[in-house]
Amino acid sequence: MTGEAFMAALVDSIAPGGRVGHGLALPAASLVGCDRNLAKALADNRALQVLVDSIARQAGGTSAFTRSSAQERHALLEAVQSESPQAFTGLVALTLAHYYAQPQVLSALHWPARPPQPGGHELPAFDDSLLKPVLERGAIWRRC
Amino acid sequence: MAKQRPVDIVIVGTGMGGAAFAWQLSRLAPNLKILCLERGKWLKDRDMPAASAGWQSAAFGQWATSPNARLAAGGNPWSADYAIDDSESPLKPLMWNGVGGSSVNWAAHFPRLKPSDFLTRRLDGAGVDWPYSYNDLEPFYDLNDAMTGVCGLAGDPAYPPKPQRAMPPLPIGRAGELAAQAFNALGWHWWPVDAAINTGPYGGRQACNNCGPCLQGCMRGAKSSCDLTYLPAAMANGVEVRSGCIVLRVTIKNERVTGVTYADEDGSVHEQPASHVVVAANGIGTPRLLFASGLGRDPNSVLGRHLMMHPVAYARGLFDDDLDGPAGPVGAALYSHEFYETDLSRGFVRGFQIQVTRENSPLAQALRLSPAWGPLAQRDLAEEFRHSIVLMIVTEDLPDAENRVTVLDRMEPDGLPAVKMRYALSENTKAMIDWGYERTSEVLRAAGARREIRAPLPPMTGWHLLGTARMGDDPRSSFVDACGRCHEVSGLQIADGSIMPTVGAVNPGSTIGAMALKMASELAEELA
Ligand SMILES: Cc1cc2nc3c(=O)[nH]c(=O)nc-3n(C[C@H](O)[C@H](O)[C@H](O)COP(=O)(O)OP(=O)(O)OC[C@H]3O[C@@H](n4cnc5c(N)ncnc54)[C@H](O)[C@@H]3O)c2cc1C
Ligand code: SF4
Repeated sequence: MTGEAFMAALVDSIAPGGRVGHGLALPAASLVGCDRNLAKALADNRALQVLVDSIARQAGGTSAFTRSSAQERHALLEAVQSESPQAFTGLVALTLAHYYAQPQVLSALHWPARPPQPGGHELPAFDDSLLKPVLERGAIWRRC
Repeated sequence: MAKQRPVDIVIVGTGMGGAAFAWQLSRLAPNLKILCLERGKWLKDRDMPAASAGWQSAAFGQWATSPNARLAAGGNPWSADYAIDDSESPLKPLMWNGVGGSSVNWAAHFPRLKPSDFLTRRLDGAGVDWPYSYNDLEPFYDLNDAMTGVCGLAGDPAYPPKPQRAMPPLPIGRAGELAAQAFNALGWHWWPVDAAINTGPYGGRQACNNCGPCLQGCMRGAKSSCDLTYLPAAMANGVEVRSGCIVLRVTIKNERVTGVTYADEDGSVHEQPASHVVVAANGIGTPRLLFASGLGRDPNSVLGRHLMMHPVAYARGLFDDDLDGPAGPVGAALYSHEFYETDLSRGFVRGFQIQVTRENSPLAQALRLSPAWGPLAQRDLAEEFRHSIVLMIVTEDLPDAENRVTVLDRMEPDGLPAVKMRYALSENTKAMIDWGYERTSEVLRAAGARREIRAPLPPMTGWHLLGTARMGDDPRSSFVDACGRCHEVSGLQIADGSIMPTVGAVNPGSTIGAMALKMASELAEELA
């Protein structure tokens, strides 16, 4: 029940990509390997397997799911989410964990495509001239 | 059961309370044989996830801040976690159960309480008064600052004068600057935070490079944690730290402590005689161990009661400008104490602080959206990521006897009884959050936010676990005296956040360390 096109359609319903705010364009989940990641995870995750099988079944088969429109797939997944919220959250978390770890996605968000260490990030030193009005007001702590 | 060689003092737990206590006592009473027993391990090679591709998802698995989440992910090798039944608490308990305690995964915001926090009953008719004052604790705050290594700026008008901080303040970023300008426009107080983070070399540790995910531990050692500060100094004074040792019971004979029983890493059980036992196992671990030791049985005992957690509420402002994203230590960059003190016309007693914190990783921000999936979720994420200012309302939590930690009639695999927390928000806190949200809206509007998103009471914010063995002069309403000595038995002292009678509206680490230093000085004097 887990054809490649079905897996791609499933993860793309979770993270479809495309043009989003601030002039950014995000890749679809299947373009960054979320479908293969899901297929791998299914092998040893029984709860996920049951969920994915049930999505296919409710769609009338994997091909029917793949052929249906993005809106139809979204509506079907919303129904599945309300039936099996915990398992569905697991599917979303697995897909997004892989998605937002991909260099293409981080770059598309204008964020460095590397882990935080060892490079860290540059930030300008604190400018204490900002505190002028706070200091002019004087002490405000409650004496007791 | 193997019997160990007797020691003078056993300290249970190596977090801020236990580690500061061990160092101070070892320095002031060098002849004492002091042994720290810690259930978790030393972090090996500072092997945290910040340098790995999976750093974002690690925060939801083995490196989650919640012990329950770590256990669900198969456990973390350094943190010897136990399950906590939190089904009756909207806020979930967070901690680290390894050497260094919760300072390993804390955000290291390092504020002090204020003089009024010690006198809430006398000043405002709420909570209870401490058995001592800010002035009594002040020298120990200063000593704790020096040992911990604090960056910041002296001269905050919302506090009595503090000594020069050892290092300049953290960068506040573009988001911090916008928020600061908004506070200025409103004529409200703000100040850059005191943080237990190196902004330059200090204590043999290097400076922070603003990498971001401090709550998964600091690989660089720039963030102060007790495994890097107090414990090595205590060990240099002769203190022994036995890690991987779970204390199962404080042993008591004729109302006097005789030592502890503990299980080592292999599960072998040892009897450890000691003249004096200091428990610093955190606001949940401490009552759990003491209940297991047969204490707090009287139905009127306050042991386990008055759990305080500082409920928080977030307001995010969205901006067109490019801001910082998750750069800079994830805890607060600056705070406002404009609404810290009581003004009854607001509809509640006591007050709150507003912290300006930083953004999280893209995954963390994506997962907390509702819905978290589909085209709208991705649009929302792009609107928020690198374009938001995060304000956090941190409320003063007043003691309520019904908010409590209890043990259940069932044992956990670690050999201690199962533990449960029950917690409900007071009407006072709810009113504070509602009123606070009107203020954060003013800040965000003044900063030019396009849109505001509110997230009251996210569950994973149970950072502060306090008040469950409270201190006071009257044994009927407190569990320990002003020196942390248990009223029920002699030779037992408590040296962690459990003993705080009230908690102000600020993070507790600095106060826990200062209290432990003070109590250790008093014990050293007593034993001299
Ligand atoms: C994610 C996070 C962020 C935080 N951020 C901040 C912040 O920015 N500023 C701030 O001031 N505070 C912060 N806090 C809170 C602060 O870290 C804690 O309040 C403080 O460190 C608690 O110190 P403690 O000594 O009471 O307990 P802990 O540091 O929790 O230490 C208790 C120790 O006892 C050990 N132990 C427990 N039971 C046993 C047993 N039976 N046998 C042997 N050992 C045992 C545990 O393993 C642990 O090491 C944060 C906490 C967390 C979890
Ligand atoms: S931001 Fe700084 S203190 Fe926090 S983990 Fe990174 S280097 Fe350490």
